[in-house]
Amino acid sequence: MAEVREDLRYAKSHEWARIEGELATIGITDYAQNELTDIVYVETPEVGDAFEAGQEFGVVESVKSVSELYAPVTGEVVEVNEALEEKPELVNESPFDGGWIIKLRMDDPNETKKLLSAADYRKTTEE
Amino acid sequence: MDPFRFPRRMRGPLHELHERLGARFVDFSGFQMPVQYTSIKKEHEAVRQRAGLFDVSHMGNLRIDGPGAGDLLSYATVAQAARLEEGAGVYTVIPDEKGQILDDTIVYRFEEDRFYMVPNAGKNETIADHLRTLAERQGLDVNITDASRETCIFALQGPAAIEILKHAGAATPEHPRFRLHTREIAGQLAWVATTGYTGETGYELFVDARSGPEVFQRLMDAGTDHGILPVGLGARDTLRLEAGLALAGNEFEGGRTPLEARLGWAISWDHEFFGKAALVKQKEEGTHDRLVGLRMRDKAVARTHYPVLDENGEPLGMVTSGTKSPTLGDSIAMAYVPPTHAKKGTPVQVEIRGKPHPAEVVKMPFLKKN
Repeated sequence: MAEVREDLRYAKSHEWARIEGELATIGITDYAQNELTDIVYVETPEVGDAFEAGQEFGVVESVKSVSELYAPVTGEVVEVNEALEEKPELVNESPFDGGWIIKLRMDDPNETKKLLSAADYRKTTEE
Repeated sequence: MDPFRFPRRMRGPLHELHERLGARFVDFSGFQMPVQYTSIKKEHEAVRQRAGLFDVSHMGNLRIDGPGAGDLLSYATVAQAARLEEGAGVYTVIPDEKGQILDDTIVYRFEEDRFYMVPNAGKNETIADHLRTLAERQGLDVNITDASRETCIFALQGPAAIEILKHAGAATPEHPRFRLHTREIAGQLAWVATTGYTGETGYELFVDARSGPEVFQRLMDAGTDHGILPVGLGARDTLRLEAGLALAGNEFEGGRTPLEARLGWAISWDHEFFGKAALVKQKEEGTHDRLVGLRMRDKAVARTHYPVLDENGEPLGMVTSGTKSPTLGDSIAMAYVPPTHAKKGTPVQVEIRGKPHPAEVVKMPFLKKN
């Protein structure tokens, strides 16, 4: 069973968001990394780039596939996980912690209400 | 991101066995085939360091029999198949009248008038028809049977393959390569060929489809002490890429000749074959594209159909296959470029999602093996 963290919010497209004040740390879920298996490359945006909720902000590549990443909320990139350049497999090994991808400063923290709770996200993966 | 959903397609004879081993499936030419069982990286490493067992039964199987069989195969391929000894095989290509590759394949002479050919998955009918047309045209007495559905093909590859086959009661010398031997595994008849698609020591085995599951299991059991893993199509692709071997659907896509595809060495010029005139002309002109190896200079991954550009951003050609090499850790690829940019060391760029990334032309195979 894929792990789903209770303290996070989720997008249907398998991104998670950890909310701390106006900052949202974003990554992909355990379910997603398990579907992809060996991740070989993560394409990240630059600090300063801005994204609307639902807009593509990067790409995660496995051996066999290229998958788009979608911003769960609107905001500006304030930090990018540099460790992923040398070790993209961190996303597989630690999808909710060491494998985080970007941090956004949210335009409107209320947007997080539109995201799924852990329980609701878990349901979507069981469909 | 969206996880893939695969439609139900035809199941191979070992489907249940693969499910039990934890396989994820992909549709390949109408068959559901295992793409991986554990992780592509782990399976790849197993083959490079110990051993892996592949089910490649989706590949074709043609029997070509009769007094005209040797002559037909000499005419239909770029090799002089009529000169093969009994039990010997050759890697070759089947060209059309323009010299473009219809398929690459291995042809074996089983007996004087009995040959055996392994077309790529989904190609058995087209190739069989093509051979029949040529036989008729040349007035050759040949009988072509498609045995694809009745045959299972397995590949046992890796440094431990020799010991594992011995352990399974079917000891077969590793050399000479491209030889076919008759053996028995788990009481079943098996043809063991000293061939492979990984760049490692190993064998490819042909058994009756009804014996398939039993023989596969026996080989897995024989390999347990050697750390054998079942290996899917995902690692098959990364392994062959590192070894500089072509995948027909990629490297021959759109119509490529053996001269373009780095297979000129396979052409035996001193015999008449279908499509020869076109190849002679191409060789004389020398202006054709060349298939080269590329090594990305950053971490980005080059993939099939990505454009290849020169240093100024002008289009040169296209990537045919690419991946992150599990053994090397770098991104490697195969691509067609004009002869002006085909030399080792030539700097090029690969366009990935609209941005150019630096790369370099390198020699293939990417991995040097014994």
